[in-house]
Amino acid sequence: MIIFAILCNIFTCGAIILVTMVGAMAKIIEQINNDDLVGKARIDADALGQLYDLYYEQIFRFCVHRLFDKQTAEDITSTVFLEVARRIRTFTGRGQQDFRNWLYAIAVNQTNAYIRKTSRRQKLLAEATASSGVSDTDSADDSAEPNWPVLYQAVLKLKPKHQTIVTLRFFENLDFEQIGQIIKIKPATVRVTLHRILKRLRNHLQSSIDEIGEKKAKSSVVRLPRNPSDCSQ
Amino acid sequence: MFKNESDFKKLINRLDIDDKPDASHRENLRQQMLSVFKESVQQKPKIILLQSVWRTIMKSRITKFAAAAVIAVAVLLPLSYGATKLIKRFIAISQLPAIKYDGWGGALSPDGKHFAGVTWRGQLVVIDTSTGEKRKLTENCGGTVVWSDDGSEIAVQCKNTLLAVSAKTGKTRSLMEDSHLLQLEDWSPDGKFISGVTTKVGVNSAVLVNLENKKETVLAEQKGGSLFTHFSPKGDLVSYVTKEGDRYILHLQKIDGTSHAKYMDFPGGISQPLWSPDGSYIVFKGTQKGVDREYKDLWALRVQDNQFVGAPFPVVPDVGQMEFCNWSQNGQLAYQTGFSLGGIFTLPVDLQTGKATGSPRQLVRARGWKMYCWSPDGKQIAVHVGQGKLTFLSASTGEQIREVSLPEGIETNKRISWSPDGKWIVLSGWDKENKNGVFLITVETGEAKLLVPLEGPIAFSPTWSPDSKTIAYGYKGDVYVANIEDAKPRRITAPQEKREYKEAGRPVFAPDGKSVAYMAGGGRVLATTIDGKETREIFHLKNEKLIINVFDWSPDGRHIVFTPANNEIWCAPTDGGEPFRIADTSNLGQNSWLPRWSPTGEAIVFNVYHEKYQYWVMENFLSVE
Repeated sequence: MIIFAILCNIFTCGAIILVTMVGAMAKIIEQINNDDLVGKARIDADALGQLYDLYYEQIFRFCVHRLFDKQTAEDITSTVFLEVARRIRTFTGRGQQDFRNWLYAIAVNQTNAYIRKTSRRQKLLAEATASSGVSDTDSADDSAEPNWPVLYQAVLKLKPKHQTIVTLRFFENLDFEQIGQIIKIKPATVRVTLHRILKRLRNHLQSSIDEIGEKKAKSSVVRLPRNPSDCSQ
Repeated sequence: MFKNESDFKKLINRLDIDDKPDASHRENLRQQMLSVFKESVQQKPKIILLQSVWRTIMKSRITKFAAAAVIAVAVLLPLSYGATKLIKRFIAISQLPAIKYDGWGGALSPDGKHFAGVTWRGQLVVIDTSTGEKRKLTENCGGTVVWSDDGSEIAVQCKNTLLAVSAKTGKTRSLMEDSHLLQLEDWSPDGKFISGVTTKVGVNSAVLVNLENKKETVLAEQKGGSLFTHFSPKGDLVSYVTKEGDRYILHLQKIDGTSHAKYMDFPGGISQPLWSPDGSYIVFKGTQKGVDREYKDLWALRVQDNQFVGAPFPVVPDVGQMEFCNWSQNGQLAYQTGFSLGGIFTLPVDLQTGKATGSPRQLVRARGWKMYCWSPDGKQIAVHVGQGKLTFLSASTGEQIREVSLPEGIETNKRISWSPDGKWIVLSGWDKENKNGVFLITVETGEAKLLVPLEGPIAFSPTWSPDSKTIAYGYKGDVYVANIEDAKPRRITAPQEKREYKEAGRPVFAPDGKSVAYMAGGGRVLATTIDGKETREIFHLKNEKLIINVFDWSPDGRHIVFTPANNEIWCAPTDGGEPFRIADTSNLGQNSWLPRWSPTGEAIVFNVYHEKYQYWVMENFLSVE
């Protein structure tokens, strides 16, 4: 009798839980079906096109901020979206938030892969240096605030992962949780790491500015006229 | 320069970065991407929905718990709706590794916590099935053990008395005196009846014995074979098996005799029937002949209202390796599996001294006791392997030279003998029609001739005279000789009322052909001349620790070889000298038996019993209605 009573209780509780769960599961499935463009985009080109329209610019800008060079950024952006086109059917995320994180994760991987090769990094640095030089020389403003090329050079001296955090946080305005999801670390870790990164970045920036100051000084020396006649010209 | 995160953010905002995308790139990439997508979308998506559900569940503890609850309910729901029956059909088999004892058979206690059995040394032991703790309860026992219904006592045959032995204390009480003729098979749940088999003059009888008045009720009689009498769990019915011709019959009989049902249609052999603990089924080992081999499966037959219901149905296949012990009340069907390491061995000996000149060597592996004899030239050994067959082995290598099938399914369980002229093998046994007697088997063809028809018991140990014209055999406690020409048996031992020994057993013709030697009890071997006029003692074993259970002459007549029912082989001079041990076979097996001296005198062949068993229990093999 006791066993029978226990079985009855288990059966009753089980039935209640089952009904509740069936309802909850139905809701989840409904959400999956109706919620988002992302679900449709797995099988529908129009939906994918809409997602592309929504996120192309964000990803392109992210690539520019990471790679400085627009041409290179276009190439990497192309790589990112072509990969999306190939993998969207197996993408298991739900909703646009997941999709955006996924896009950024692909973009982060692609940009870091690009920068990881020394020759390419050197090329980017050279371009940034060239831009910063022109800018400085032509600048009438003698303030200590760095411009974009100078800042990029300083950022590029950081580890790739730290570069990513800086870009996502200050250029893409993502919060710590989103950054954590993209690069797969805890939000608290992102926050602590960012604090250290900024300290290091400040040092790098200071060095870059000092370096530019020296260049400027040298540049002014060079520009002095060799003789009084030159001055008259 | 920036001081903190906020400053740095402001600095970024003030930067003039050209990050505006080119419209043409944007459009080109869009088209390119959609083109790639369309190519890949030709394949249909796989279980994406399922993956999504799974990811959703795994995202939080609540959904994980809920999913676990759903799974639990999914299992419990069908259970509550009757899947219990389905699940109960999953057979559970487990070994009882704690049961290690030097014996055969045994029985599980009603609660399955203990196992009782009799060792080869005759000790009744009880073993805890979980710890292996073994307790000796009593000694000088043999045969089957049966637990009482409440598990407090064990019935066992000890020293001609059927005892009930307390499983806790070993204290004994007598159930039945002078019970040596009864082979115990079961004990009724109320403790009032014993079932078993008695063997009188070669006929096996399934009997019920009322333990209060010792009244014996014969249920069935047949020549040879087991009858497997067992009480139903309520004790009102008894089942047993008989054989009529080729047909096996399962009987179901009320113990008061008011009803008797038979099942006669099983197409094969029936053995080891056991009652299910609730009394609703009898399961049995069914043996059926297939194309290339015999199939032994466990079958079940429904029992209801004192009748068999329907036909047997198979429940467990291939149980040929299983020897069933009992089906305890807790639902565990105990059985043993095992293998035989014993068989037929040869021991090289010196004919002059009777002593061994080397170690025993296994000629062929065989299960149980076999009957065999030497060819006259000492090069072959003929073995009766059962199932109506004789095989001929090389005495030097053990390789099978040939096999003959005996006509009419002739069987024997007695010693056989090859005529010195090489033409015949004499065999005492019975045929398919239960004709009983001494048969002559033609060695070349396997043809059989019933030389001496006999009524009642099977004759013992037929043996040839050296001239191959006469045989001698033991029958009803006397020794007879018969000429193969006229086949008229003639008793040579003195009338039983006029002699001091009770039974003359296992005769062997003397090598000179003038007399026949036989065991006369009390360790004595006597020899009587074939005219019956003179009897003399040729050996008297005075060592009380030894007995002679079977013996043979050396070819020169100067020694006899005998086994004293243990792991030894002994030799004794026939001139009155002291017997001596010629081999210790304890490393070969549990027991040695039936020494036969080769005609050339160079070797003795003997049988070793050596079987190792594991014990198992099987549950839930019957479907639930």
